[in-house]
Amino acid sequence: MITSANANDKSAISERAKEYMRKTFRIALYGLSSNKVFIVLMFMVSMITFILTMNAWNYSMGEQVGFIAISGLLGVFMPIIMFQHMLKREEYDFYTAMPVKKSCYFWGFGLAAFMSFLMIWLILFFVIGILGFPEGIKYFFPGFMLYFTVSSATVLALVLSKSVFSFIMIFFILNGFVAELFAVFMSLFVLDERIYFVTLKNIIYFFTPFTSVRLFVSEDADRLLGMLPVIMGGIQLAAAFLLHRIRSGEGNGTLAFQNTRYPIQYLIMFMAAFTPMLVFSSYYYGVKKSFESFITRTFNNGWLVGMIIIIFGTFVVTNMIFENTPRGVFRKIRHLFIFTAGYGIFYFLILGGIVFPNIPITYVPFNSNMAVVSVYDFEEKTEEEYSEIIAKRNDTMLARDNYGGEYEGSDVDVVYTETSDEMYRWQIIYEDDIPKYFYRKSEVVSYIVTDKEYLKNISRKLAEESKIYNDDFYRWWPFGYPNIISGAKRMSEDIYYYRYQNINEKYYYENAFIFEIALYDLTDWQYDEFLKKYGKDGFHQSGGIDFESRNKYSFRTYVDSKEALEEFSEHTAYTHLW
Amino acid sequence: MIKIDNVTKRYRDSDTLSLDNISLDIPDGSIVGLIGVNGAGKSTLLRIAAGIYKQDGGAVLIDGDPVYENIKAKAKIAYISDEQYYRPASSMKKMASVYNYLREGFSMKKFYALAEDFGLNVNKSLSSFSKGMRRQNDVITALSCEAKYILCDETFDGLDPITREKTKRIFIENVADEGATILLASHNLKELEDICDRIVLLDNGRLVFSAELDDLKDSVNKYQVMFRNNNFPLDIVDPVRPVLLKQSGQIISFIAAGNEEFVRKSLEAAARDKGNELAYMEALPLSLDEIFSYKLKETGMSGLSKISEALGCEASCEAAPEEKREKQGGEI
Repeated sequence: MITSANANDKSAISERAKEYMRKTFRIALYGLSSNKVFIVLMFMVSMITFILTMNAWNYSMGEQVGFIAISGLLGVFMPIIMFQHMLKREEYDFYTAMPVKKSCYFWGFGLAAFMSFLMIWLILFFVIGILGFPEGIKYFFPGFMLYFTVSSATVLALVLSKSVFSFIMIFFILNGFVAELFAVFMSLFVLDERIYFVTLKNIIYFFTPFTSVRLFVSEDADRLLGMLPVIMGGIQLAAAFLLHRIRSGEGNGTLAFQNTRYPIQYLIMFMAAFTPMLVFSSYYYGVKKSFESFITRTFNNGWLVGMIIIIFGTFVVTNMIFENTPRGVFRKIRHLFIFTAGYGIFYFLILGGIVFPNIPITYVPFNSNMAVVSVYDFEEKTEEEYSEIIAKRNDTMLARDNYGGEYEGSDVDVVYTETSDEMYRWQIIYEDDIPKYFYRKSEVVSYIVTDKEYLKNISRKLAEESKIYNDDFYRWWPFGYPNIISGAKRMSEDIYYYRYQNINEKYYYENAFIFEIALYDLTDWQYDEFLKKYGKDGFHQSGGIDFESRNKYSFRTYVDSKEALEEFSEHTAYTHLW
Repeated sequence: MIKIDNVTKRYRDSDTLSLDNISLDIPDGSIVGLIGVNGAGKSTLLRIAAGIYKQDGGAVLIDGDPVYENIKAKAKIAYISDEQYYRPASSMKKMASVYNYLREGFSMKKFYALAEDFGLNVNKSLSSFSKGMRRQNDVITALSCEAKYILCDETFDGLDPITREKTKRIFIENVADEGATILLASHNLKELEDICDRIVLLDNGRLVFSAELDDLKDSVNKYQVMFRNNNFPLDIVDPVRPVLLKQSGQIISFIAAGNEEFVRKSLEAAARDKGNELAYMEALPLSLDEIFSYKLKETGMSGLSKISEALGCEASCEAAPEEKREKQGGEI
């Protein structure tokens, strides 16, 4: 029953809510009006960024790069503009002294930041639309998701900081920049990205909003995985709101909450020391596990000295920032020793394999649910046979040139019909600088294995028993990769060409087969699509599914008989002969 | 009324208490001077009273309502910081518009009137103002908030004598006409003379004393006395427990509690005991720093001369005999 008392209470609550909303919007309008210059500046920067990234429309990310780029940019800078008072004590106290609730400031300035993002985005959209790109609106959702995740991390970093330098440090941590730089490095050099990304991708995407946006723009992206950074953004925003309520401007420290100092400092030192070690170990040691030499290499290759220098340098820099004076460099130095001791224990016991000896240093095995097992057969020629082929090729080319590209059959004996690509695939093996063997790949058989349970059991075993180094893998790349799944887009030839030229070891074994296994960790959607498209009754060679290369792990090994394939053939979905 | 009840505060990056159980009532319509050396806790107390900081213990009530995160209570307060914030490149008018945005009761009309009264150009950039002019701007914007309570931190610092007098006048008018209550923090007693009804002394985060100025003046007087026989020990005036004892030829001046009649009778008796006679005695009005010095002595605080000097008192005078004897054994 509604009594007058209840009605009055409800009315009072409603009035308070309205008043709260009104004040929040008032703060938002204040934020917009008092930062007009910055907003205009950000619009210009966004426009320039968009124009510069317009050329990326043809790249793998597609034409959404420009809109995504400005979403990330605005996600960083709009909260900084609106919440900059967090980093200035006088300004923070000024606002706090006013009869405005802290939560009104939080949501009001947050709303102002979002409205600025929206205004800039929509203006650019209409402008670009006029220039002939009306489909940009479909990138609003991924752009908004990226803005949300990045801006949440930025606001949280501002709430935790009281100085510019501490903000930059915390911002880098929260936005996962270190992980993203790591990801970029791995991508650029194709350094076992399949390994780290396959297993660590979930964690990386959770903490790296910039990288995660790919999950929204790829059509075959795992949408559930793509929500992880958004969830993280929500957590960060909630944390920012709660901490903002209890935050105070008192004191002269560089952090709003002094008890976050050592966790932040330790985390930065850890990332600074650990990340380069991960990268270099992956670069140099590939998929091979070598715990027995890992500790030795640490001492012999300068890693130990390098890590000590990095840890010390990071401690010094972070100390200067937190103590807010260069003279604070060596204050509380006991934490340097505490961290170094802890890191040393972690490094030698865990990574050195003394504890958990089965964890490899350069990769973490993953559970594959589909595999492509490819076998190459070779066509071999003697030197005379090869010379005949070359002579016929040259005659053919000469004949074509003399006749201006056309020729008549009666005057030229055109027996050489191989294409340039086929010709290119002839390889020569030298012994004592003398060409000895001439061969090319003649047949490829691919076995597609989709037995999840079977693959789960053998994945780890295959990875551990692999004896191939990265440079061998890259050596074979020019042969092409008969990957019926991904379509195998070629990377820059420079890398592989360089590596190919460095080959000076005998790599051909008589009667050997190149045995390649590509293990895939497909998303549920990808797996279903594969089964639907590639049934046992046939193979569709064109229009292969373009899976993300990062959820693939492959390696090559040598076998000397086809009997080794028997084990796979029992679990094969189908085979394909190239 | 502002009620400060057992307030304690410890800064987050410090082990020491910045405020230690401060209890203080500031009645409506009064002007209260908050005195203390640098680091005494004045600014901290004002920031807590303004709702900027939250106390660790105790309560701060504005007309019965806790002030922290309470917009109803904060709407009654205008706070002038010692390090006031100004938006970059803004003029007086733009800064006033910020107040107008954030405070509902802000009066632009009053703002313009006060600016004219002070002779300030509202369109001029605040960065081109002198320190004193910026202080004037701070006072103008605070008064334009039409708040019931005005909290001022070192507001008179940097003001020339004329402007200081003008500001005092405007404060007094505000109290008289609009019933405002003003809490003024300063480390200089001379700034607060003529304006405060009540004085509160803080030292090391503790409240040393809090007293009405009229009560102080009534209870304590400054005397100048002369004895018939010029050769007399200075302890002849000990019975009245004098403070700030000075001797200039035959004239002895000091401050003592008690009314004039009591002091006269005590000195006459003391003179008789020592074979002397009180020849002349005159009661003189006290200045604020003299009252303050007396109260410091009365509380038996250590570091008396240091505090007095820091507050601008004339404490370089000779200590009383009793003080001298105490000094031989250690700090007073």
